[in-house]
Amino acid sequence: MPRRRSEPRARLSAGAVRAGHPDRVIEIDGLTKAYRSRVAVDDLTVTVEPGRVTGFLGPNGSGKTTTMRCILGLTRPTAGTATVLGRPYRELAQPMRRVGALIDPRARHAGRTAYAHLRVLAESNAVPLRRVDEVIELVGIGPVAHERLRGFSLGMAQRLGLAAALLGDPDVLVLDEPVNGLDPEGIRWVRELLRDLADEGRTLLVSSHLMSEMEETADHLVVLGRGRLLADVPMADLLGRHAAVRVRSPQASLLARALERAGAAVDYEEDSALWVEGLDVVEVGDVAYLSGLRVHELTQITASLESAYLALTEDEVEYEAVAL
Amino acid sequence: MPFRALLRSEWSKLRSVRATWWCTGLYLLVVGGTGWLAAAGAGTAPRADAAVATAFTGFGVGQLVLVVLGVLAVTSEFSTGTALVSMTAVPRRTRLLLAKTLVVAVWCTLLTLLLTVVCALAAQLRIAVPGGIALLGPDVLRSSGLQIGAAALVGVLAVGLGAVVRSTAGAVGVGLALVAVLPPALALSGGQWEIRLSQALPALRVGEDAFLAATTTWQTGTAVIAAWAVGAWVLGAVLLERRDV
Repeated sequence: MPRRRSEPRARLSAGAVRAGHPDRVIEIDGLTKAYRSRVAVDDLTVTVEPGRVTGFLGPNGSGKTTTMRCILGLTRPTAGTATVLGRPYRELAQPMRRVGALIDPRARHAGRTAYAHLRVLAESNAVPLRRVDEVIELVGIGPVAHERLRGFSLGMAQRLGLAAALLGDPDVLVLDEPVNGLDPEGIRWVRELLRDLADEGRTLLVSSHLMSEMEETADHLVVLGRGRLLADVPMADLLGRHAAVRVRSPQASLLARALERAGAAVDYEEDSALWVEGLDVVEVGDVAYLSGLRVHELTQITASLESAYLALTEDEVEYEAVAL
Repeated sequence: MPFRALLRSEWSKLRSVRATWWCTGLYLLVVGGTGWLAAAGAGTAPRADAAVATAFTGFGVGQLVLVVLGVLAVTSEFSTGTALVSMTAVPRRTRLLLAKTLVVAVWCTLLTLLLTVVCALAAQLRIAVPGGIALLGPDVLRSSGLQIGAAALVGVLAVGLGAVVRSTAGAVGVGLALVAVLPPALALSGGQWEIRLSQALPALRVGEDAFLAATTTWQTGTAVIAAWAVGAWVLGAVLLERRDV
């Protein structure tokens, strides 16, 4: 899914360039976080690059949030390091101007107004107060900006959290489940927002459990399972890897043998069509032609992210079961 | 990150929640009200220092409100999850705690300054003393200075306890036990060691309150409160830096 990038590096901040790895905006190296009874993140090494939306996927409890908290210096890793713009997050001066974060939309004082919540944050990082008004308008909570947060729904709280993340106009955004609780209009708004931010050359690490949403938004995927890295691939590669070709032929068994000789994995569908993985539609057609076999249907099946993801995490579960 | 920005942020934080204003109102009401009532009830006093002590009675109970105020400034961040956002915005946690502490301590100082004037006026207007009471005389200034200093230190102690304990109920409980429950309880039990121990606790009114603690000199009382405040604060800062949010 190649997307046009407008000046992808133009906005890249000096910190990353100074560190000598302009493409490694977020760098996680051997990160491990063990709690008393379990290992939340297990020797994770991954870099997040600018100018694209990196989707951060994994089943519940796979370590996504823990990883993000380690990136933001909220949680101390048991081993390994996480750096942002070439240094540990906790060493950044005025971090909101460099990194915007959304970790938990419930992290708010119910008695404070939305405006006061954002004002406190803006002041702490010397962000001018007119920026508070700007982000309030940007995320669309203007009408309730001076109401107490007690009455905010999850969706409104998410918008407030995004407003806080965007306050310092940062080059890097770390967002944990930003569309959780949003209505369809809000989800589409976030998708377009993230797209625009990435096209400006910013670095986005976005977790979600909504596969269809990720499929629309992310360019690159990092997939965790049980705290370990399962995949670090461009979206197009992952989808391509799980793509298939459906082919129907009156000589199905002959065709199946021919395709297997050509290196494909072949399954029979219920209607005696063949499900072919490992060859693309052109190759399947060529194999049939060269074998002199008739073909009645030849269909490219594109994988959805959901099926590709399930296949990936299912493998992990099976692997775990065998390992035990 | 300029420290002034942090102070401004913490001041906005403190004044944008209702608990601050409840505590502020209660503190003013309790100390000011008690001062006027005690002064009116006393009517006469043999010396100026006794009259001032009577009018300042309310500071004993009033400091309990400051414990709650200071504790809440920290623990409400943990109970609501705001700490997550605060420490993402300001990852240098000791600086964050320092800014919060200064704001709380200055607020306690200003309120107490106002109250010392109110209570001194109560003493002057309501208590008949041979020779009268000079508002800027040594008796008033000494008592006022002590109360203001003690209030600021109690604020620091409360913020420190909040950072150590993190739970509102826990930190308020520990704070009240230290300043209001243990000192008189130990003093009442009467043994020599218990009284020593009582004097080593940060008692209300820097040890000058004979009802609520074993009395000490004001120098000792102030030093004890200061030691507890610094100790709790340093422990709080160390734990804040080390623990996960």
